[in-house]
Amino acid sequence: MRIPPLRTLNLPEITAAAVVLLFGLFMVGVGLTYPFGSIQRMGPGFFPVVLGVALCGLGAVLLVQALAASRATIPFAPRPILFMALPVLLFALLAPRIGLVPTTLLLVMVSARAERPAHLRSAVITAVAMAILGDQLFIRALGVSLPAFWW
Amino acid sequence: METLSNLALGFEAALSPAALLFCFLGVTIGTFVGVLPGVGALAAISMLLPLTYYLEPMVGLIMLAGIFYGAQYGGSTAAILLNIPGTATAAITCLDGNPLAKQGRAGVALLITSTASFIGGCLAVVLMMFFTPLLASLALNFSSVEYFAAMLLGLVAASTLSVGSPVKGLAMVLVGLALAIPGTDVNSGLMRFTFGRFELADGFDLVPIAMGMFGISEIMSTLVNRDGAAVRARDITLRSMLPTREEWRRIGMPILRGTGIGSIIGALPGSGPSIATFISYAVEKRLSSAPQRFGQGAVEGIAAPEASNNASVQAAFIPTLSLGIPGDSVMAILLGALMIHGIIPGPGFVAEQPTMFWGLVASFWIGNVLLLILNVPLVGLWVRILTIPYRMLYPSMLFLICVGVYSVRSSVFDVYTALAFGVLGFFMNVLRYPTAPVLLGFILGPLIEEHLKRSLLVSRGDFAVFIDRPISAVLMGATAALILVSFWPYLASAARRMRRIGQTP
Repeated sequence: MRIPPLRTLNLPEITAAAVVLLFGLFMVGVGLTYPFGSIQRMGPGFFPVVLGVALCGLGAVLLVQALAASRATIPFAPRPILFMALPVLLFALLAPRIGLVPTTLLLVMVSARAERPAHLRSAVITAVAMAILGDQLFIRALGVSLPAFWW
Repeated sequence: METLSNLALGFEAALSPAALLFCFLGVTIGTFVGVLPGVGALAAISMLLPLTYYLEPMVGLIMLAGIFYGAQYGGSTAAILLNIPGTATAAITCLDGNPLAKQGRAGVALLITSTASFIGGCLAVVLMMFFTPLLASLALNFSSVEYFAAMLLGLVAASTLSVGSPVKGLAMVLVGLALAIPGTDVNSGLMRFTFGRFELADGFDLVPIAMGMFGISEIMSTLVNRDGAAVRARDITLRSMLPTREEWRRIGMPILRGTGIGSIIGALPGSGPSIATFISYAVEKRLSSAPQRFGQGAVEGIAAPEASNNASVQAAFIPTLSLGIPGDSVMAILLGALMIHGIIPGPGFVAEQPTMFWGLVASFWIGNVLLLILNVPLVGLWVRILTIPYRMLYPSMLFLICVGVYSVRSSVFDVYTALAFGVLGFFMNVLRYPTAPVLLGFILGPLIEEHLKRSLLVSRGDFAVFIDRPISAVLMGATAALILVSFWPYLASAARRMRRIGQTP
């Protein structure tokens, strides 16, 4: 099969297929470090390796399809992804340290910036409402093991 | 007679204050997320999954199920009023529902969809009542061989019958199975794929994966693809909702046909409510004496699909509760919720947990009645909810996801896991890699590995055991046929190319 020039390739599809293929290889690679056993008495490594081999096969089929596919644009905007991922990271880092209430305010204010134009007033209202909900419902009523504040 | 006494038992359980409260909560939340475009039942169910840890298993299940069928009612509201499907299954309802609204008959359309949903849902519950115990008793003498074959068929059907590339679907099932591997191996006690991280000793948890893939990624996708249509609330009076006598006559048979189609499709693994609505719309259009009315506001065109999607949602419980094999991702999450409480649904479920099964059946009727009340007299409330701006909703959802994920095991690691699966799920959506099969594979992974091991241990490593036993042979044959059919286009085009190469010297 002749591979078309780079600029006409569907790079996102090719990358995705390659990831599937690599994940299959990873399963086989790590799976082989565990006892394989026999078909009659499967070891802990058997199932991962079989899955990995099947994934490699499907990944290869996907790769061939992706190479034949024509270039296409995918709907992508970095802003929403960044401003959705960042608050989750902040929550994981800060909630156990500075408490749920301040973390909640921060989480809502940051995530509200995922969309443009930013509406400050509705973000503040949402942040305060969620902070109260977090304190009353999750900490008081459901007993989630997080402090409300850092003190 | 036995069914009736069982049902009485079920109603007793479902009418307990806690069950009633959470049934109401479930169907209300379901209608809420159904009405709102950009928030699906799947996201809502994943977000409320942690709450079921605090509840009795039956009450939790009643609530989660209520969200699922409640969303089917709500989904049509946004479809009719805004021409935006509130849920994917309501897409067909837009076709004739919105033209009706433009003719000033939105109220009629809303009443018809609610009535059709109610009839479809209730009739399918009757089918579920009879077929679940029947199927379960047939499956009681299943051995590991049949289980393996049935689960394999379920996974292959779920990944190949959905829209989009079957190869991608199959690959994603395998990814799901792989995600179930990390943790302690039951047979050897060996830690697999944990890479020295103690958080992975019990493997990945269901909640962060579900919330990441269906919660976080769904918000990201909605934000990226939004066109920001403004919504104006409209007042709908009860009087304006009454269809004419002629219209009542015209929707009778379509509702029954829709229910039939929905029940069959819902009970099959891998084909969910979306496919049921498409097929029943096509059937009505074909059978109609005036097909040109479809798309212009034909009442049959909203009645049949709505009956169909509610029927299919209820019928989906048949294989899930009788065989323990979920047909779609919502059923997989419900199954996961049961497993959290140490209940493994399978042929023994109806017999061992009669209160839970019959309580659930009874709650479906209660829930459908509640939904009829919520969606007919109170429809004005939901219309107003359509005006809640998304910019206030999505930060709240993100907050609920974070706290919910953390609360399950008090684990920061799980929050990072949810984030990772959120980003992964977003890119999967963009590239049309289906996310539902990942979850199905993840939930069935440990079971399917165990049954495969046991089957081959008993047969002394002989694969023929899967075709020697009749039920397993049929299931394996169906799996093979599905794989063959889904790869057929590729095989055929490869064969054509070979022939062409052979002809040109």
